[in-house]
Amino acid sequence: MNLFEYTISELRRLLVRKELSPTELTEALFSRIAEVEPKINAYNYINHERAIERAKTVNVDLPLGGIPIAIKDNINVRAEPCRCASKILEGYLSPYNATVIEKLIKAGAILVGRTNMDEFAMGSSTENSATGLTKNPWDLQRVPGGSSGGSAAAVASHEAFCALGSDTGGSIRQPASFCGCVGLKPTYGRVSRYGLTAFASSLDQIGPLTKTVEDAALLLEVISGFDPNDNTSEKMPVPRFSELLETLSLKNMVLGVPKEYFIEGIDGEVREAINKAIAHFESLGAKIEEVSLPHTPYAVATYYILATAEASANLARFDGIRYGRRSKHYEDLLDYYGKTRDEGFGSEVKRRILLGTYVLSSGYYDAYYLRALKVKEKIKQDFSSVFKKCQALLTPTSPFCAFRIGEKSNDPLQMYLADIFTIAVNLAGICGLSIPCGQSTEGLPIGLQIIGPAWKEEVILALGHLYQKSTGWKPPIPPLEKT
Amino acid sequence: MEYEAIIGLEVHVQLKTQTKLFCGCPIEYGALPNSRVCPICLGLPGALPSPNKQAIILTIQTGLMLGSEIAPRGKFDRKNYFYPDMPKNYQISQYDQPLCKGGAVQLYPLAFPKDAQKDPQAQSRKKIRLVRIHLEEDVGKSFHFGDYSGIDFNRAGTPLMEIVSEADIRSPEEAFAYLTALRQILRYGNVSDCDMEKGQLRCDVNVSVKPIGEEKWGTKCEIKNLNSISAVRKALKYEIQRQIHILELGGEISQETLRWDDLKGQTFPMRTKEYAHDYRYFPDPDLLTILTEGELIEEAQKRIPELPEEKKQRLSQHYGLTEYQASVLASDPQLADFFEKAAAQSANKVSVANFLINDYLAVASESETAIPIPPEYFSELSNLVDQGKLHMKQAKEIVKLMVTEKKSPTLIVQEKGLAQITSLDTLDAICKEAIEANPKSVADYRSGKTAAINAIKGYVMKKTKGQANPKIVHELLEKKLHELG
Amino acid sequence: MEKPSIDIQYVADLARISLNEEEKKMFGEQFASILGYIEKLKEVKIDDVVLKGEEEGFKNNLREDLPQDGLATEDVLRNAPHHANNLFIVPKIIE
Ligand SMILES: [Zn+2]
Repeated sequence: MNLFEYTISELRRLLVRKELSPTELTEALFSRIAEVEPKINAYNYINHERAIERAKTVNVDLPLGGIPIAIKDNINVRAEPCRCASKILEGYLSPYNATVIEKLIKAGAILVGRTNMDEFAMGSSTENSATGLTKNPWDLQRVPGGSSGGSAAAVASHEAFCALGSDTGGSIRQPASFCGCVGLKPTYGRVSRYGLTAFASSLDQIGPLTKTVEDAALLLEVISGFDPNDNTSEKMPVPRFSELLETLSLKNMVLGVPKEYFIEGIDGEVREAINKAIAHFESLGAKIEEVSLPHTPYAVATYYILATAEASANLARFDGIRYGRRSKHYEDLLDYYGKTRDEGFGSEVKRRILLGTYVLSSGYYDAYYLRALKVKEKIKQDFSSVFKKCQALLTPTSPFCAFRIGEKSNDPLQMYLADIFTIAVNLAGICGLSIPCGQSTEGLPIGLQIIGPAWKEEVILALGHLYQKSTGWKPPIPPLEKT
Repeated sequence: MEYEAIIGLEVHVQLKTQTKLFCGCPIEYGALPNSRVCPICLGLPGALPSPNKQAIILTIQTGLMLGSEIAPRGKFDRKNYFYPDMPKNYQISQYDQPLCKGGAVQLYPLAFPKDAQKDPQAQSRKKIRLVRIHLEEDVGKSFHFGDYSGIDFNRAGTPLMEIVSEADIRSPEEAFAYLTALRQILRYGNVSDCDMEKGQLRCDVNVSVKPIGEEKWGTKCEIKNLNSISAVRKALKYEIQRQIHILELGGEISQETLRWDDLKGQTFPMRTKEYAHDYRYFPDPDLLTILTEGELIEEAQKRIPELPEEKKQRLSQHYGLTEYQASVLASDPQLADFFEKAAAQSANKVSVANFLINDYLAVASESETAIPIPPEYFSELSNLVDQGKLHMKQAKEIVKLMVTEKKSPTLIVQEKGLAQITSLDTLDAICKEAIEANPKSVADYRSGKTAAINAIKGYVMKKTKGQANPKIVHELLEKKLHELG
Repeated sequence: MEKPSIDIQYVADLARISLNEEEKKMFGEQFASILGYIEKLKEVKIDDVVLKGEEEGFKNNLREDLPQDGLATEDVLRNAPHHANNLFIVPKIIE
């Protein structure tokens, strides 16, 4: 077995027993990157030297001691670019560390580089990147999903052991599902957002993308916890997720299957794979019950009002004054702003800023924003009432498998509907996990989404772990070919 | 036709905190540009605001002092507009749920400009109602050079309290009095130093005029960013005349935003080439609502000091001062404290008040904020007079010397040989001499014109260069004149 | 319900993004379809929803007023496209 194929948990054992040095491990990963990266383009930035320097001195007894990790390009790392795959942040070097980065460094992780994404995390395919496309390792003509497409493709193609992504409407879970790896969106407030370049502040969460559920638990444990620098982070105790994986009993456990997630338009093979996974849980002793989340059809519309409104303000700071790229030709201050932002932002970002500006503009607030806030409350209530009778929900992560590059890029609305099964989890502020649960006949991965109540990550992680253990999951090596 | 003005004020007050509203950067006036900034107040990608508890308590405290209703929940909103001095291109402010609603500022005669204190309007004790008080962050500072501008973000994120009045003000003098009275309360509460030179109190003014008796208000103009109380009065005086003049000529007032040029003494329209104002307020998703009930209100309550009106009442009752004396002393909490310390060790409280008001304040420079000598000097001085060791006229001279030379009155008296002659033997001899030297006055006195004694007394005082104790001299002379039979 | 129409120029001005005619046309068409989709929110009964600011047991999360170190000036200015004398330089602000 090649070193790059290992999971974090396996590597931890080797490192602690000194059977492997962090430097050897890091070098092995860099050879894999050198081999695979030209085909995938998962990284925007790689810092070989800095990683090796760190590997030489890192303490392997720390929780992630010596484990290399890839970071999505929208999380700030001191003295590194944080481009958010945008032209407007060309050349930007961040002067500070995000809280999650501080935590990773304290835990002994080695930062390898920055992964590609949709510009400012706006998109579901990583096609909206100013640094070029990332390819799906299972079919190089397809998208890896998005917006954390670089993180998912890197983990799935084994050019990263694990990665951090961010999830605003499915941006961790959907690419994990498209690439065949594990992705977790934690409960809102579980992980500090300080240092995550904001897209939609009330929905954004940082989370892990890994090869196994066990690894996701390990990583989540390190990055979670109250942060005084993030007013919306919660003072909740952080369970030892990795130690709770085996404690779950499916006896007396009710898993809900929301009927609104099995709609017309869902891919037949996806439906089949999900039904098989549900049956598997049933065979392991869980009670399966159909439930209803009646406001599901309104999630996407609600999301596109709230997320774009917040984004229109969050992205106002990119004006080329204190940082970033500024237009070279302008007449006066107004012209300067207009040209700098027109040249610096890509189409999708402009579209969302404009939409968000519109829904907040004079006379429309009540009809759009306020109404959306109230529908969000309804969606939240849907989940609270089903979680009274079941401990978790099982759904597809995406209605279809990875689509072809360019297939949806001209129809924003169709692209938005790709997030139809992941968005409600962000709106409700609860947690969701995507795990691989089969392949299509074309060999494309299919993702099962396990949704849990707020602050119950240990439940969905244990369910995911149980699934992987009982099905003998081993992270596969994708073909890295065009099909 | 007679016109009247309708005026409303928006006052921005810099709160007395150590750090900014949403980050731990220290607030420091005059620091090197961009040396007091961090990812948060510089609006770097990914930085998040973290609200300053002290700023929220100070705002609630202000509301309590001004009789506002404190909202049980406070909320921060984003006010969206682009400006180079604004790091995030939105300002964190409060829109529909300000921390405080309502309240009022009471005007009092001494709050009016000196030349208007005798006007009937100064005696009216009018209450100017408040609309609201909210908390927001300040922007950076811009400097203008040739064809470009430079921005310093040190000030960006400083906590500002915006106090909005109802349009209850009717004259430039009332506006002056409102600001003076408001500043007094803010200083009382130690909420802000209100140092206008440092821009800690800035003011936007809305003004319109209408013929007296007319119900409908005229079109209002806004004068932005006035940075002294006297500038507010001057700008309003000018602007009201300007508007009346236009109306008298049959013209119409156009609604505009104006700038006051203090040197030229005129208002000018601001040349802003701006798009429509559409601030797109929405709740800031980075910030939780603030629960004011419980800890915050309780803490604010604890910090409320005795307010000017209460202090005035107490000073006048406890120390037997006139209303005028009490209100002068109460106008400045530091002055009042100083007085109380001085009065504590003095037998004659009223004389301490008189020395402070008539002699010290008359010579103190306007800019002097603290009295440069210990209060005990005033107690000593009043006691020296009270014990007959010093003549009142001399005591008044000594006040000046105390301040300039920073010496105690006893020391000054010793050094200058100013002590009163109280020795009975010495005075007896001089009085005898005086009676002999003024036969006419003696005759007048004996014929019933008792006031003639003053002329004889004058002789004694002249002879002793004013050092004779007038009380003793008076008694001695009376005795001697009666002895003459 | 009539199709919402957007004044793209007004919105682009507010957002400080200069758009060319082609972009205006494209965004205009896309917005019509997106906003048409969003209209479906009108079906939801929301009269009974009360937006509370916080959950039960809510506690304030406020910062004590204690100074902390900020950024070194070189870190502050490093990313600025144009700076001089420690100031960020911008096109002239007209007052
Ligand atoms: Zn700061």
